[in-house]
Amino acid sequence: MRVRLKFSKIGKIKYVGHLDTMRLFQRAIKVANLPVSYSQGFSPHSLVYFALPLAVGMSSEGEYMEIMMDEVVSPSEVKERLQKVFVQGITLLDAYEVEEKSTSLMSLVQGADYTIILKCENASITAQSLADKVENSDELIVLKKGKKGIAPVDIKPLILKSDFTQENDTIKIDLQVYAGSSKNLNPDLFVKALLGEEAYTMQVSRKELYTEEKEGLVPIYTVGRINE
Amino acid sequence: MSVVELTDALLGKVDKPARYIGGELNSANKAITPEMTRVAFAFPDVYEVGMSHLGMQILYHFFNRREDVFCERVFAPWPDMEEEMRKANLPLFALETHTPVKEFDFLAFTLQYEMSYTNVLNMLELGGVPIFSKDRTQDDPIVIAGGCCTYNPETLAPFVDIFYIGEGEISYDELFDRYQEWKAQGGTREAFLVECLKIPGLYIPRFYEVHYNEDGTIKERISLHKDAPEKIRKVIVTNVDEAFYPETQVIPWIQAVHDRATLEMFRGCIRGCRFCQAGMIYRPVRQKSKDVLIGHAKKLLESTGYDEISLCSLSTSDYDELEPFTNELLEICRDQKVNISLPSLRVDAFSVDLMQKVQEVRKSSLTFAPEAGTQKQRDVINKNITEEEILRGCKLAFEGGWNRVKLYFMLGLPYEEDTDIVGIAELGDKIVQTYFGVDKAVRAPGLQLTISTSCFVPKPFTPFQWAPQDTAESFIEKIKLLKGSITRKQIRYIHHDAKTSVLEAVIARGDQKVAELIYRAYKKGCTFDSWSEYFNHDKWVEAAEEMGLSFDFYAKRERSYEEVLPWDHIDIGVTKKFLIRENELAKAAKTTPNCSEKCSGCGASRFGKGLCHES
Ligand code: SF4
Repeated sequence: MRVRLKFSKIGKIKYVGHLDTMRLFQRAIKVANLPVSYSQGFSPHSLVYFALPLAVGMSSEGEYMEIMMDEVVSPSEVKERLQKVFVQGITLLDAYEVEEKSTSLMSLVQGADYTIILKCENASITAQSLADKVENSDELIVLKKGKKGIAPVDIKPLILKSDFTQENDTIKIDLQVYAGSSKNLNPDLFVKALLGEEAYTMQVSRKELYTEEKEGLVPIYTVGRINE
Repeated sequence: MSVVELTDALLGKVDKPARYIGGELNSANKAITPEMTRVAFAFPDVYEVGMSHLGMQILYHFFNRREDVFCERVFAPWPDMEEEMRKANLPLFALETHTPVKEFDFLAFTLQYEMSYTNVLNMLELGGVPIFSKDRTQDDPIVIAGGCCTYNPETLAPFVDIFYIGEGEISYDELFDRYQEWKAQGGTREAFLVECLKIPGLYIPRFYEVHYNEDGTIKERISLHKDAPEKIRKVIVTNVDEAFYPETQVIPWIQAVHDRATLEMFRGCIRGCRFCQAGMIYRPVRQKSKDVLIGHAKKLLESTGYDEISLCSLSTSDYDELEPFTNELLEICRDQKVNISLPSLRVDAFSVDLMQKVQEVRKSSLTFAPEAGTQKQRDVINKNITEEEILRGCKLAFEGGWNRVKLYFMLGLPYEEDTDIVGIAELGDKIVQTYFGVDKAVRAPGLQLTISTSCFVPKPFTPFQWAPQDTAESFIEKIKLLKGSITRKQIRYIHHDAKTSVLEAVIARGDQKVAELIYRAYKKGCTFDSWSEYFNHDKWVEAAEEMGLSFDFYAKRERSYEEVLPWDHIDIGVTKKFLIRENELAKAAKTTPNCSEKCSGCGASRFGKGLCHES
């Protein structure tokens, strides 16, 4: 059976990178004694999938992962047993079964919400000035490191929504972008496109992941769900 | 109690910030009370290295099994983090509660290799703890050091309050009890250290004075306190089956050098290789029974979720019930999809068979350590393995489908001649011939034979403790000679840096004058000396020149049997008489049987345990 979990990753644990987090889950699943399935072949590994990598230093309230299991265990029990293993930082928010044949978690991901808390040294940069910049430019060009080296890309078409709010000396950005394997905008790149060489610090948190349905983007947890 | 806050801005600037956050799976978390004895267990290297160390995992859980003790972990911050901490004025802290190390009752270092000593000093300094023992006050933690390097404690003697000689399970409880009594009564620091003189296995350098001869050798060591024992005998566990063993391991956040469950099969080794310090200082050999090991394996795998388990021993093939044990372990591991890693196997049919069972895919390479290239030289070092056995083992491996073999050797072993070095290449050549002698249809294509040499470092408490080490120039010559003798294109040759090995020899057999060298080198900015990207040989040379210390005196000079050695006050059970006899046998290229064949009367039987008493 396929059990999908939604979880948050908050606090210092955000400094544990994607691969290490995956390893952590694989181990936690074994400690929780869940009947996880293994791949065939010479070096079997447990079948555990993540929706979208999360960068080191980024926290999240909307992470998804999926466990394939050989035996039936109710999703609420999976959640409970796994939660007992995690000491801090990772909270399982939701667990549900998905249909065997439904789309893989990774290919579901098409959009993401982020909240960015930005602090600029240059006081003339405000929520308004940034909002104007996004609004008034036809394209937002930034240098991006890719497989073939560094190349300029236009990220404007990847932005779905961006709201800027001034909160004293920080700027809060609520950002919705394309995400996933075909089109993806990293929030770091978005900020770089807006600020260029300006000095700034920021904290980024992922809020939710989406998939595209006829009616538009819907949160991942709403699709493919078999209710208990 | 204060807490060191690591801001996002700071952690955002350093590489692998998860090294510094703590809170890993299976790490300890306790409510802190004023009565609690707090121990900061420090490994003087980076997180990924320290977290791989079995001894630390054992003692961490051993200490924390006591409710009145809270042990936390500390590692050396990587230079990028150190820089940020210094900029932000943050002291060194322990991972569990982020409390500065200065506020702990004990700061306990484990010393595993000499090239980490400058990190010890740096960690003290970063923690705001005076580097010299004599400068510490009531406000400072008691600095204690244990681990294999403490068998020659002298090179760190001025910096450490208490050396713990031996296995941790024996005297730490008593030490903590005494500490708690002392704390309740409110005595001086000195009074506590005097009290510690009565605890077995503890060496407290401040109660001794060393006098030197004019030629720089040691004249005598005198006790300054009536309770300071003239000799400090190591303490060891007699019943390893009943000894504490952790049911779990702390799972590092980021991939450690060895990231797996570890089973300790033995303490000690029956072999008695003459270059090997571990083989002498951990005598007598004590092995855990199969059922105990299987029990540990199950619990460790259950509590860690690891997909690899490693057997820890100096010589796995010598385990009594190896076949039934590995069969049982294999069964558990197959069920749980766990890989087994088997170090220190001898080259024999059983090993090859075992490797075959363990590695269903044959992608990994086989590793063996003949240590020397010719029979004569193997007899000198008492490595009881013949060329025939090596070639037979390789043949079996090639027939089993392996095509990658790695062989370890040492250069500069005592009584070595050029023929012994060329002999390494010749042995390599014979292995290549063996490979081509195996039917094409059976062997895997594309042999890759790796020959790796390290530079021999004479160590205290070995039969070679009196031996001269080769100079760096001579090592380089020998490396050249070997390189030139290897003609087969299937053989890849890799070698270690000669200069590091010479310095290692200086420190390994150093006295308290070498402590000053370490201090000076540290002051010049040396840290992380075991990392080639940070090792700065010139600074060490400068430091030595400034104080008129000669590397040759420590590394190259042959000692006489009469000379007082810096570590003579440490008693490992094995007698000097035995070591001398072994060195004489080495000169004659005569071997000594291993402990399971025949007891050679090394002296370690005084502990009343081990193989010596079973036969
Ligand atoms: S006393 Fe004999 S059997 Fe025991 S360790 Fe020494 S040599 Fe080996």
